[in-house]
Amino acid sequence: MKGRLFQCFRLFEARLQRQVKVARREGSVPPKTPLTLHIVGQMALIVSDLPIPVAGTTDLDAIGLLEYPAATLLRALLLDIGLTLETDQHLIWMPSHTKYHPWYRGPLVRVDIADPLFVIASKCKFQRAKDRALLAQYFAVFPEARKIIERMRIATSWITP
Amino acid sequence: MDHTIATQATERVIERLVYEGLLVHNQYRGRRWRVTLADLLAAGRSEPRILEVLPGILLHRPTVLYRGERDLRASPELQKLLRDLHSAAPTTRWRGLPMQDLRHAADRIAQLQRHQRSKGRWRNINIRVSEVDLQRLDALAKRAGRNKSDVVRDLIAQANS
Repeated sequence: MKGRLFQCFRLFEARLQRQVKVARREGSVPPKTPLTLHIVGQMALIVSDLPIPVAGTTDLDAIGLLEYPAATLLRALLLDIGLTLETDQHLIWMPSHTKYHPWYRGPLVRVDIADPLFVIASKCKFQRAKDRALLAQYFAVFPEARKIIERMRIATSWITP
Repeated sequence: MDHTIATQATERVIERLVYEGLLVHNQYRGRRWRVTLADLLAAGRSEPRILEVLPGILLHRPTVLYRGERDLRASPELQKLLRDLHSAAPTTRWRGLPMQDLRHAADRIAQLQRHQRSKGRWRNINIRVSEVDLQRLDALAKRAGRNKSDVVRDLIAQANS
């Protein structure tokens, strides 16, 4: 999935480049570039190569300002690889000092992946039953993460120790 | 919730769901194992995301499950779940999962299903071209030793590569 997602962003960039070229030739307004997208949620954990098993549904949670044509284009390309772009970005919460690692870098598109620790912190905050097993496994492998997250004033006591 | 490492049966369910494009996973590749409704319910105890996609599978991809329809008829709990899926309050829970998440996952599966179907379907179109363009298309087809539809498909593929 990681490779296919990377290819998808490469293709997205190529299509955007064409849109910009056409817009310049026709004298219309080109799409605003560069576009920066932050991938968060379950997909960030899957892409981060964690040593624990991580399963996810086909949603891709991404934070970033995408104009309608660019969002439509990306949505169509993601559907081709079996993923759906999450539409309710406003429901995503990440700690304010979240670290993002550069993943895809192109002249028009930049994609960053959220650091797994901050994705886990976000999951701890939402306290969803479906994340409990994943969080317990994560804390079993990275016990120091629990203290760091508790220092962010996010409760972790609801996860079975 | 069971936090133990995935059993072989759970692994098979995950691999089948990855094969069908209903789940993404960082450690398992898709394989076409035969899985039943009981397998999914059992595997859902250790990986709740399997339960999250279950209503979507029953509604939109029932052929994923071996003898799924027969097993569904024998399960009043699941019949009630499917009946209430789009009418129950979003906060209602089924096996610890909010109805909102189940509904969301089911809608995503339906969206992917529609997309896959539309990609596989062939359509006939009438297009209006000038006499000169038609002669050019004929010449291209003759040169390539293919018919005109093949030439148009090749040009579309080239333009999108």
